[in-house]
Amino acid sequence: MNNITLGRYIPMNTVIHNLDPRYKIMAMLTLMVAVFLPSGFYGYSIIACFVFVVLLLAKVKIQMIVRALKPMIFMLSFLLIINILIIRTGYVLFTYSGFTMYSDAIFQTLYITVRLFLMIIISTLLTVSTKPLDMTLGLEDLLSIFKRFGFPAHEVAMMISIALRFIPTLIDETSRIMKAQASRGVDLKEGSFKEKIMAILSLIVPLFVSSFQRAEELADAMEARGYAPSAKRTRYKQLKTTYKDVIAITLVFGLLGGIIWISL
Amino acid sequence: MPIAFEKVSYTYAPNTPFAYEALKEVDLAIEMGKISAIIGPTGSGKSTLVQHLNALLLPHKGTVTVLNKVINSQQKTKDLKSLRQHVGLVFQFPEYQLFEETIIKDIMFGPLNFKCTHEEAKNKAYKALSLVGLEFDLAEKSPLDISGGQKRRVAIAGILAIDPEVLVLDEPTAGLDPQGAKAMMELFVKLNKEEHKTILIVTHDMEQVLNYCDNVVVMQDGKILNHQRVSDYFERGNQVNEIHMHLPPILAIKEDLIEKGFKLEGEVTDIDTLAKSIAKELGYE
Amino acid sequence: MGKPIVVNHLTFSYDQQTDVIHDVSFSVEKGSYTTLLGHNGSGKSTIAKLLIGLLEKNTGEILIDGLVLSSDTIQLIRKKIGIVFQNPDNQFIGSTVRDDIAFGLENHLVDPAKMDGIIENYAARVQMSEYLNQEPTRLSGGQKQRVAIAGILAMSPDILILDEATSMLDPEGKEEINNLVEELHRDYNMTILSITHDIEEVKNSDHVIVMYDGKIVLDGKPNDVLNNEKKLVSLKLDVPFSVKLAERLKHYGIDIHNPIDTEGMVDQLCQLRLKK
Repeated sequence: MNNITLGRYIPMNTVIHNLDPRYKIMAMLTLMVAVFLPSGFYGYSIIACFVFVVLLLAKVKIQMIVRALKPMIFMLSFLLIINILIIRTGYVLFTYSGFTMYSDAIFQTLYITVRLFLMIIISTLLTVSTKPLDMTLGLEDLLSIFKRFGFPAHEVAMMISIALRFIPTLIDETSRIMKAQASRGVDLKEGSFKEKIMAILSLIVPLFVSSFQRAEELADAMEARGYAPSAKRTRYKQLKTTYKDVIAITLVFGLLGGIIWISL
Repeated sequence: MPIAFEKVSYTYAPNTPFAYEALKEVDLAIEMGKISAIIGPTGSGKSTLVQHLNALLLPHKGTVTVLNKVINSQQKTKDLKSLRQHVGLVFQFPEYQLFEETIIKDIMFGPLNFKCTHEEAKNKAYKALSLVGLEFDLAEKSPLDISGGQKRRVAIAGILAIDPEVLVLDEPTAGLDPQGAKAMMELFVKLNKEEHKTILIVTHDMEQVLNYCDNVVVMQDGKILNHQRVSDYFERGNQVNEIHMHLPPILAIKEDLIEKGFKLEGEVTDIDTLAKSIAKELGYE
Repeated sequence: MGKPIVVNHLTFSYDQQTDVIHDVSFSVEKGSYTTLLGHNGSGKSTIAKLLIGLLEKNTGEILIDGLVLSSDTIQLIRKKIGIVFQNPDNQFIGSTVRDDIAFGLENHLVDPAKMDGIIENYAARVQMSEYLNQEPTRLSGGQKQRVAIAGILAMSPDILILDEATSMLDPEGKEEINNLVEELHRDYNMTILSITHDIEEVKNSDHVIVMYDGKIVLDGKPNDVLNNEKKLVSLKLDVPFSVKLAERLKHYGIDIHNPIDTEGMVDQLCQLRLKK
């Protein structure tokens, strides 16, 4: 279960943690756009510096970033090899008995690597510094612009927050079902293919059945407390914009502006 | 050879800020061939204790010995899997573990996992079905189509079909109506008396302990507080309320009457003898 | 105004074939504590859902505080009735205690600025102040049910329905909730309808209704209704120990009045002993 700590929220009291989630989401999207613009070496250096500063402010540990990036190494090495074999533009770097390696092979790979790493780091920055529920609130507010077009922003947010609330409960329940079936001789590691299928079914079916029942009971409870999805309701948690949020988003927009200018 | 716990300790989430020591150097010897109740407040470690009996949990310190198998932190769960054929564990609200297409298939699941042939498994399943008092015509129904009480019985049949020598049940009668609960407890007595199964029941119901169990193990805070014969445990003056359990009504009334001047001579073991004793003392015999 | 709950000739079935509830009529007085008993499958839980419109009746009439339950009045009626269900987890919606109590307030368009005060007030009322920021996975069953009650109280309903609210709790949790409900009954004069198996709870109620196979078979004071062992057994109900004992004492010619009251019974026996 600890493998899911990649990018998981780490409670801390930093400037970045305390920013309004709406602004953080917007900032992340803006930075992603910047990463996709062809701003060349200088542009990416600027973005990288900016991201590095934010990482420092958010007190993110290097190990966390390394762990987030590690899974990509294999794929990127593979990509490097393919590029070396295929790409024939740029100047010649090196020749050996009929085989030539061109500079662009390295540069293209580097280009993709930098973009990929930046994207991963930027999204990790968001998830590490923002409580899932706060993110849901931020999303709900941002998406409610689309309510006029019929997008069910509130309902989506409600679904996400209920899902988040029940994740630990479902994990506990899975564990219980696994133990109950283990007591009946289920062994996920041994056995024929058919036996393994039965073993998995013995876990999934009860989980589904209980989840459906849970959903029904939950819906009853919500209705009994006066909930109606389409009806008007107030919201306990209010998001408040502070000057820090404004500064942060201005900086990010400024960065985007600069990157656009460089790319032209 | 009793079921033995020797200095067993178990900690949940060790080496994390959430570490919680559920069992603290537990020493316990459970008599084979008897019905033992395990009681104690929530969080006393009862659940953790019983999960050691079929190696769902391995002790972090100490040793558990069940049916000549030694379980300690060095074991590989693989070697202990066969233990589960001899120690059947039924969790609370076991209805949720039903999953097969038909009831009979669900009951057969256990025996099949322990390498019975299809024929053997079927026979064991039907035998278990009748043991729990269900009609054979339910066999082809879906386990989702029956009542909660029936589901409970199917789940228990699923473990009985494995035919373990030791049966461990966590609150088997929780949520059943009085007749259902009585039938369940009488089944356990039957399995104990006729098939010599060792039965362990985790329960909060003191009346159940008094009426059906031979021995009682009292737990609190991860330790064993008491382990006695039920008859000794409920002896007058004993601290049943040390763990805030409620005295079974028969004993509560008896206590009350004695406190208010009654002598209640003679053996008072059940409601009929109590009534007789009261009547005698009042001169109504 | 009328009585808090009046049910007339109610019938309900899921599949239009077998009636889960058949021709059920009863009423509940203001400020009373009514318990509804019945074997598993007798239809008692269905009544709770029908009363707040979670299920739609086939025939009959339901009146809450004089209002006829219909699609127009359903939202208003849900404000008057608070219901606590059986499974503590499956009615806990918020991610923390605070959020869960807030849920009801949000539905009823309470001003967000006022919510903190209300939440803290009712959390204190159920002794959950220390747990306001706790997640439900860290709470016991009894604690979760207390939060459910706090959420209900925050809406100030007149009627509280408990649908087997203690049957999934351990003895400690049961006691917690039974005591809390009793307090609410006393302090706020709430009308309580409790669907239960717990014979102790029934003893302390003022009015008991017994169902069997979808019909009401007994309706009256606990003293009058629950004094016959044979009858209770035939209805698949738990028989209080004192009632069983009184039955056996009768064989010896000892007559106990009102055997459902254990203390009263002990007193009567003591009196008889002194007279001897």
